Amino acid sequence: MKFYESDILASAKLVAGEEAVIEGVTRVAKAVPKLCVTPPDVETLLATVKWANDAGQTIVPVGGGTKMEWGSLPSRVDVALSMAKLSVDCEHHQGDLLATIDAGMPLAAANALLAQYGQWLPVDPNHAKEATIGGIVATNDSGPRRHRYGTPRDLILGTSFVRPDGQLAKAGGRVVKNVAGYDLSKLLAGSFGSLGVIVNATFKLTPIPKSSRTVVIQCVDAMKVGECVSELMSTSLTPSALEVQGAPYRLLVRFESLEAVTEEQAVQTSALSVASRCEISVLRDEKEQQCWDDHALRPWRGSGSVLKVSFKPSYLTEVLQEIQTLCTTHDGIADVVGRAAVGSLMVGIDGELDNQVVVIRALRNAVSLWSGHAVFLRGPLAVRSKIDEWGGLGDGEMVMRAIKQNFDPTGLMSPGRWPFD
Amino acid sequence: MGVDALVDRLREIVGDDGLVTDSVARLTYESDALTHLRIEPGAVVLPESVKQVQDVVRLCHETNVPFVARGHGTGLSGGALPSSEGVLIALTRLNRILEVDSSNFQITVEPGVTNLEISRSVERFDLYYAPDPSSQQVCSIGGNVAENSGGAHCLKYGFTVHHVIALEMVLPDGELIQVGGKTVDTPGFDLLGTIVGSEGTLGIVTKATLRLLRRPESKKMLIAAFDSTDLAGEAVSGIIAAGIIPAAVEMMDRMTIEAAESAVRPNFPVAEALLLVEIDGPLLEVEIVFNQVQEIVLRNSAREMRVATSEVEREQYWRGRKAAFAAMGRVSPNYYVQDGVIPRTKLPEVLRRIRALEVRSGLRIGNVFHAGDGNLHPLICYDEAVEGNAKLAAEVGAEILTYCIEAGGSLTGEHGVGADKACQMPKMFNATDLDTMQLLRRAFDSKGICNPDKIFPTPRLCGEVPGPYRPHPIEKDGLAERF
Repeated sequence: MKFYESDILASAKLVAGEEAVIEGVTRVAKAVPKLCVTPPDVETLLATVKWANDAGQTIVPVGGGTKMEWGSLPSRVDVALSMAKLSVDCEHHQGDLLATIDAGMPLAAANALLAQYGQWLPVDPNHAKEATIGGIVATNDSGPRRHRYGTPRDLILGTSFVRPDGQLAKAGGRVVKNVAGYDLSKLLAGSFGSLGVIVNATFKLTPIPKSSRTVVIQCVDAMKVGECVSELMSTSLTPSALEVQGAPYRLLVRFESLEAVTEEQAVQTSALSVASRCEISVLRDEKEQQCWDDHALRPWRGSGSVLKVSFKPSYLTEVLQEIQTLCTTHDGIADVVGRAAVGSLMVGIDGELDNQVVVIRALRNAVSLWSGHAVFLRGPLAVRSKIDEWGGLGDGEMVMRAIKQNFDPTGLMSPGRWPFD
Repeated sequence: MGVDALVDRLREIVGDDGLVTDSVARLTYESDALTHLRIEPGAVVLPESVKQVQDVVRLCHETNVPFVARGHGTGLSGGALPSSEGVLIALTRLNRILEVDSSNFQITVEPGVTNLEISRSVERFDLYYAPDPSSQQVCSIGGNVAENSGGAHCLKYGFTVHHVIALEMVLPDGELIQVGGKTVDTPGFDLLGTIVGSEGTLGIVTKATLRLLRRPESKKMLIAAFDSTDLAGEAVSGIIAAGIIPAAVEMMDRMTIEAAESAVRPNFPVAEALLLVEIDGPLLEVEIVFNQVQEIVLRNSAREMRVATSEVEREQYWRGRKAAFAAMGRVSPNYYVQDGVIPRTKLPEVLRRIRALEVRSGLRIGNVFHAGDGNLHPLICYDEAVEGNAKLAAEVGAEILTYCIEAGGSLTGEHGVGADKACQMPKMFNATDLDTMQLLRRAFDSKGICNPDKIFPTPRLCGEVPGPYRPHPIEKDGLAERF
């Protein structure tokens, strides 16, 4: 089937229905799409994907739209496929500690439903208020609680998704333990909408902890941060989050468990030999929540670039020092938040555009010495255009290319997300 | 080219010492621990370096000869079943611990290292490797990675896939790649998550970097006797409903309790159902939660409850649980182990169907479960000497899997699909689902030579009738137990 450009709107409406299709107005991943299609149900979603595939139109799935710019931008956005209406079901199996949640449902809405039964999906991604289930899986994004619970790929048990050819496929299961067949849900986690459109995902849930405390430790320098983290990790303390922010540097050590336990662990943390020589406060209730809300926003406050930097956790001090040195040398401003014991930092870099580029390049070189890498999440086009957003995919790239080709032979599903397509 | 023509070239790669030609020695490689499926491999090699693995695979690729990787052969689904026209690559000689990085909670090992060796090698740092399949004394980490092995503690700690951070792998064309990394979030598709649990069909893992955990400060365990499995199941529901995730919750029924008792004398109470509950974590947390668990268990009509008061007693109870499979040999001449998963809350319903099947088939069926995650291990007793009994046992096993699927569960929780359940995959996945999985497989293995005839149903494979269970030699020798 061949379509003339002028037919596209009309034929999309035939497939998806009059109301589901509008001409593109708002930008999606920095491009104005020809159309925005919002399928009202799964059948229409399947028909839309199949239609786009037949008509040679590229598709970019959109959830909350909060991470569309992460990594490389799609090279062509014909159809922005909004999952906003596929957002109704959260099938909760309380006794089995799992839920199957529609991709378009915001995480916050799902967790509000689950909270009535004392359970939750314990991920706290960036832009947590708007982020949807599908988007969180597609970006495999997580937050401070990654320290205890891992990332969405660690919690996902199964998924239904639309293949680029418009067929519905499923993988995994709806039980917490299952090894039947390839776990394609893990392949979709972090695939940035390039292998298919996630329809729903089943996750393992956990009970909501009854009490929370956060110990805030002011550290005079990066050295002190490293010492403090390594001392903490050598004890039997069980924080749910262990975050660094700065500079000036602070460690946020969160305990979530029973009241008596969080209280005790907060006291024990304050008494650690390194921490006890720092200024310390223990937060709870509203003040604690406020502290974490501020923390989550920090890297996104400026208008500059934001990177996700990974490294071996034992090099935390060196990485923090490097960031500081680079910013001093190149007149930049950095704001760092991240998982101190995981070795994953969100780094916001502001300053002259050219200086941002220099800092990013130098930081990449530096962390590569510590088995690390840095992915570009957001930033001015002038910066983006001068760097490779992913910073290389390693020697798995050949296999990734083959996977993409097998799943999406026409190359119409979020094309350009990866260097190989 | 046939595999026979390759022998000389294989010898050039691995040397005389690395090529198994003795017919008796080759018997070992005919099956894994699913001993009723046996195929004589075309050739067996024992490479002692990654380079040799690569060269063997490259040769297979050039000549279109299939190959199958094998660890220590403890798999229960025929995942390491050789190909009669292919090369079996046994990785037992790649058994070095390469690097312990205790400050980053990482260890890098070769695939032939046993699961338990890993924890032992980091004991001095107060660290351990969490996944603990019950064959952990003998099973290899390469096999664990292939099967995404679980164990009794996976409700709380997850499976192998949650603890592998990097792999080195020989692709089916002989290329060597690094997957994942010693840091998190390596950009690109999550190849690691797809390779772990792919049952050796995507390549051969030659190195694995694993995540280590700090040993829990405290562990407490209780056993509780109930008048029915339903009542024991309600107690488990009560524990979960209270927001408690135990380190392990295991259930045994009357037949398996008695079998275990006669085998290793764990001093279990006589009961219709027995629960074993373990709580671990920080001292204070364990104390409070364990008290709650005791209250819940008693409130749910436990007839008897015992708290393990010493490490010796705790180990004794675990030994009783772990011996359940092997102990069935004492109550039945032969038995067949099934591995299915159900949503935990469907336990009473599925057990009732199994009871009805027991009556209808005339075969006794014992049950042990990982009760926290709904993983069932029905043990179907039969007598090989009775004509048609073995076939009936296999049919009963397949019927139970149907119940699991109908309850919304899975064909396998931890033993894998392998050759054993490939023909049952369509019960769980439709043609599109299976076709989609093949898209992944072909991206790694375009020629289809890497561990062929596993996971996916083929007409050739599914014309054959699955047979019953026979104990593996290492099991008979008491070196390993099924879990």
